[in-house]
Formats: sequence, structure tokens, C-alpha cells
Amino acid sequence: MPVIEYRTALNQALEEEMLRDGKVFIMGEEVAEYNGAYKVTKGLLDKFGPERVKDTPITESGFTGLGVGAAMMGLRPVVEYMSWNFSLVAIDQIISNAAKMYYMTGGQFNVPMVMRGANGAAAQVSSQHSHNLESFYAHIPGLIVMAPATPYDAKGMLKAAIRDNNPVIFLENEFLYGMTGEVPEEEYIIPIGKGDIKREGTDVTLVAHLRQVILAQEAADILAKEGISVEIVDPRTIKPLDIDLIAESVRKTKRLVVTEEGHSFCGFGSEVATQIHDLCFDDLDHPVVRVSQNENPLPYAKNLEAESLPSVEKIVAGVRKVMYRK
Amino acid sequence: MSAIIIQLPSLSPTMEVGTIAEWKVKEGDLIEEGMVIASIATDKSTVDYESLDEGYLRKIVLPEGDEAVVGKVIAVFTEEADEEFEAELDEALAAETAIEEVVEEEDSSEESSAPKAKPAPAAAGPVMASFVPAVDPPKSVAPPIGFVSDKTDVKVSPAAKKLAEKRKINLSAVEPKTTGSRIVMEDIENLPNGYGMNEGQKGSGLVGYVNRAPEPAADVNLSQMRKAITDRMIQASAGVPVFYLTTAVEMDKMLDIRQQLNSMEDTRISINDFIVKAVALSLRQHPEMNAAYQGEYIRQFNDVDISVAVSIPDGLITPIVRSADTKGLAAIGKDVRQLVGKAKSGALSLDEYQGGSFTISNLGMFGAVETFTAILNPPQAAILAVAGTSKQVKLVNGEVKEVSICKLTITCDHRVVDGALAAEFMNTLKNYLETPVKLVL
Repeated sequence: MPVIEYRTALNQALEEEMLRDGKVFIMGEEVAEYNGAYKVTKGLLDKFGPERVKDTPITESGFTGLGVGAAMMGLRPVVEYMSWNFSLVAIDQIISNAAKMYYMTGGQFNVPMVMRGANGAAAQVSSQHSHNLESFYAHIPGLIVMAPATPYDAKGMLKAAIRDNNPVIFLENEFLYGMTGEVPEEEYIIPIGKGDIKREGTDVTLVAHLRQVILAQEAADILAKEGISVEIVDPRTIKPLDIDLIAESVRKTKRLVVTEEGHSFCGFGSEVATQIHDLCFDDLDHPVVRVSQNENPLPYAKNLEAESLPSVEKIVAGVRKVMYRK
Repeated sequence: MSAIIIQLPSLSPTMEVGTIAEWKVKEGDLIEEGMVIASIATDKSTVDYESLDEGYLRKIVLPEGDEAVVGKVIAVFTEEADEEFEAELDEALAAETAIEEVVEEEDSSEESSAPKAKPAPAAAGPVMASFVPAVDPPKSVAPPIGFVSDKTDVKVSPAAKKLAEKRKINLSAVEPKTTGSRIVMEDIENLPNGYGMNEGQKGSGLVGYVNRAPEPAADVNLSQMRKAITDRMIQASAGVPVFYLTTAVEMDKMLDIRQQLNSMEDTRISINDFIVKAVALSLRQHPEMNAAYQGEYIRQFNDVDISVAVSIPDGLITPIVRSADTKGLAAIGKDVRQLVGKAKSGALSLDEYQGGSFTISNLGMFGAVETFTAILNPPQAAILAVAGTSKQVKLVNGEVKEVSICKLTITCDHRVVDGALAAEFMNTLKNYLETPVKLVL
């Protein structure tokens, strides 16, 4: 099976879907001539021409609005944000228009639009360019939020996102673009809302998505040496959440740790914890533990940045805590 | 016209299951209101039941000797002798099955979070009849004081609790070693099933086995009473800190007075009657001993109600001599004889065996028992074990003298009673028994 980079997997998904469906087109800053800020759209301008791969000005609100309108008229736009931090100037288009159009028009117009880009911290880009927006967007009815951690997931999930008739928030990560993994040559689709067991274990369920899956794997290796067997559940889609998969795992392990790069207050981990307390209260041996970013703007300084973000060490400590280990 | 469905009634505040000891009527009989139709064994006694309804007994659903939970269908009446009743009976049984299924489902369900509504019993359709026991359980008697664990403040994780229930682990016997305050999975995962439930039945491994052809063992089903004894003794042993004090009492003066008293016509006083009286007066002097542990508080009884352990064919029961400190020896003797008679015929009513403040277990009639210790009768704080009386030698002013010695051992709940107090109590008791004229006054 070919081993390719995460960015290449996304590129393949875009190309395959554009070939399959002439209504799919790409829009965003530097996506065409420059081949994308992170080279996700590399070569697509040459293959599909400027009609279907369009560079835009630095006007997120404007081209997001264009995307909503195009989607309402029957096209299937894939809008790239150079990073999700810049979606904040377009948040009214995303929340008030993309998410609500189907409802506000009584089902006359749906918005089959994918918005994608890098989410979360990169290396020292400080507090304004390190936002984790999964909890923001998952809060809004009408939006699907997806967050693949591997090249395999990225390709199968982006294809599912493009084919879905609802607006999809598709979250990637700068560290992940260069990660490699096996991706089959034959076509496959990973359904929206279907999680994945990234590592089987018996003692603790560790829920992680995006880059946290990588950290979780390292933490699990360390914990295995202490005799603690960690099961890593990657929900892959934040919303709709595959809570059944998580619950099934918790019923087996009796303990749950949720790690996320974002902040804890009203965060993704809180949501998982609440749902698991609802579903599995009698199965828990310890209250659910959350690992997340400290409650402060993410600093630029390398040491402070590392101190603020969730880390392998913090995940290991969280797991030890639910195991009542010192 | 409709069928009347008869269900197993609840005959005491603690009754959960009952056994039909005997059907006093048979299928086809015309039942009149007030007629005793069955005797039912509960956890402590067997009681006759009179019907509140009239009709023809058409079918006995629960046969003699079978056990069922309260509320189960046991029989069906009809108003006419030849009326159809099968459909309504089936409906009632189906409703019963449905409830059981829901209960089982709830027990085994790992999926559902929302509580399921229990289907209401088939209210429409057959009339549900009720019974009153021929001997009414006294309504004024407070509900029996149950065992109150001293570990109510120990926390248990939900998962550990669930596992303990599944594997019948007694959580009050488990130490929260991992956290110091909350019992978690790690504390119980490696414990054997049934841990702490029945310490007494576990073999020590030191039993010598004789090499011979194996003979199949006889398994005797637990009677209601045996189950009740088991439950209470487990409660009494699980995690209750106890201590024991033993004293030797010279019985000669008492035996002498007893002989004089019994030489009178119509007087029959036993050694046990003396002991009941002596214990009652001693408790009056040391009311802190006349108490019960209640978890959040200690209940000190103002009445001295002595429970007397009585061995009966089925097991053991503790009828009560009420206000024994106010009664004379003859009255105590009469009470005890009456209660023992009732106990042996299974006719004790609830208030006659529940709610005592102190228990005496007397094995004196078994001469071979030199000394023994009793298990607490919860929630009471103490129990006195009375062994057999034997001849022993004693030095008095350099001379050897023969005396009759009876050894008394008290078991005390240390949460309620401390050693010094128990020692004072035993001193007082010894003094009464060795100066028996005080008991005759």
C-alpha cells in the first residue's frame, strides 16, 4: 500500500472528487497559482483550470459568502482557509448563513460546502494564530465538524465531506500535513460520524482527535511500560459524535481521559465527559479526566507555549490519575 | 363476574419472600370470608391467613413448599363454581412475567441510561384480592431496627459497586487501599467472588482429609429462617469491632435458693430465669450497656427487653422478655416458657421477637460447654454467652472447697461499649448472681 503524506491524501481526495463531479470547485487564498499555503491544492490548477481552482483576495468573509451562494445555486464549493484563525472574520457567514440556510428557507436551499484548513497551534505562532475552533463550530446546529488525524482518515473523510449536502467544517493541522501513512489506491469513503479505535487496550479509554492522536500514541507507549493498557478512541468526526464507540470502550475499561488541544471550559472534553456520565455512570471507576490547553492566551515563547499545550507528559499524568496511580 | 387473583401478601415489614407451608383448602372449595386458607412461612414465623374474599378456589398456582416473592400470584378464585378464569389468570401471570423481565433487563442492561417505566400490574380485568394475617402484626411496633453499617461514609466508585454486586463481594469487608477513602476497581478486582460474605464457611486448608471412597454430600436447601440467620450473622460479623470479657461465677448460693424456691408448690424457676433477672438489673445500673449502634448515633434503650436465644428445629430465634427488670423470677420464668413454646411451634408474632435491647445465649444445658463466645445480635451492643456449670475446687483460708462455676462471656460492640464499662457490668452481674437473694426481692 502506498505511503503518502497527509497533504497528498487531501490532494488526492480533492482531485478524485473534482473528476467525479464537475460541480466541485476550490476557492481560497493562494490555492491556485501558489499551489496552496501548505501545498494541499498542488497541481489542481493545472489539471482543472482557473474556472474550478480560484484564487481569492484576502477577504474570508467575502469568499465564504460566495461559497454559500454558490452552494445554494447547486455547486459544491471547497473553501480553503489558510488557517482556521482567519475564519473568525467570516464567522457570521459560517454560523448565520451556511449553518442556518437550510432551516431558514424551510428546506428549499441546502449548502453543500466544505470549509477546510489548518486548525490549532503550529510552532510559535502565538495566541492569535493558534485557535482551536472545534468546540466553537460544534456548538452550532447545522454544522458538521470533522478532524482527521491520519492520511488515511484525511482522504476518506474529505471525500465524504464533499459529497455531503450540509456545510462541513473540516479541520486539519499544520504538524499533520507532513505526517505519512498508508493510503490504499482503490477508492474508499469514511462515513461522517464514524469513530475509530486507533489502539486497542483494556485499562483506560483515551479519546483524542487530530494531533492529539499522535501524542496519545506516545503516551500509550510510555504507559504500557508501567503495565497500563490504553485504548485510543479517535472520534474523527467531532459532530455528529460517535459517542457509542466511546461508551462501548468505557464500559470495557471503566476509565476515561479526553485530551484536546483547545481550552477545557465548554470544550470538547466537557461534552464527551457529560455524555459518558449520562451513558456510563455505573461503569466509571473514576470521574472523567480532561487534558487540555491551559486557560491563557497561547504564548509565543517556546517554553511557555510548550507549558500551555497538552503534552505527552500531561496525558500520561491524566491516565495515571484515573488509574489512581501516584 | 370475574376471577379474583390472589397474590402472596406481605406479612411483616421485612418480608420479601414467603413459602406456602400448607394449603388448608383445596381446589373447588367454596371459600368464605375469614376462612383460613393457608399458612405461610415468612423469614421468622409461620402465620395463618384468612381470606378477605369469598368465592370458589379454582386453582392453586403456588404449590405447598414453594417459595415466591411478595405479590406473586398464588391462587385464583371465581364467584361461580364453573366460571371461566383461565384468560384472566394468564393475563395476571403475563403481567407478572413482564415486570420480571423489566427488572431483569434493568439488572443486566448496560446500554440504557433512562429508567424504564415498569408496566403497571394488570389493574383492569381481574380483581386483586388481599389478605389479612389471622394474627395481625402489631401496628404500634416500630419497624425493626435493621443492621446499620458503620461504613456509611466509605465511598465506592460506581464501577466498583457494580462489580461487587455482580460478584457478591461484601463492600463493608473491603479496605479502600488504593485511595484511602474510596473503594475502586483495583481494590476488588482480584478478590474472590463472595469475598467477605461468609467468612465462616471458608475452609482454612488445614482440615485433614481421610482417604476413602467419596460419598455424595447432602445439600439441604436453606429454610427462610436459616437465610434470615445467615443474613443477620453476616451483618453482625462484617466489620463490627467486638471484644470479649469472661468471668467465672460461683453458682452455689443461687442453686441453693433455687432449690428452696422450687420446693414450693407450683413454682418452677430455672437457672436461666435467675440470669435473665440478674442481667436485667445489671443493665438498669449500667444503661450504657443497654444500647444499639445506629450508624449516626447510639440508641440507649429505656426499657430493658431481654432477647433470649431459643434453639428450634429450623434454627434459632430470640423471643423477648419485655421489661425484665420489673418482673419477678416467677413472671420471667412464665414468660420464657410461653415464648419458647410459641417459638417451637412457629407461632411467635413479630413484636415477640423483634426489638430487644440485649441478648442472652445460654448453652448451659449442654454440660460439655465450658465457655463460648456469641456473635452479636445486631443492632444490639452486647450479647451474653452462658456456658455450663461445673464442679471445681477453690482454696478458702487454706482449705480446699468444692464450688459450682459457670463461665459467662460477654461480646460487646466496641463502637458502643468500652472495656472498662463492660468490666463494671460483669462485676455487677457476678455480684447479683453470687448474692442471689437480691434477685428474689
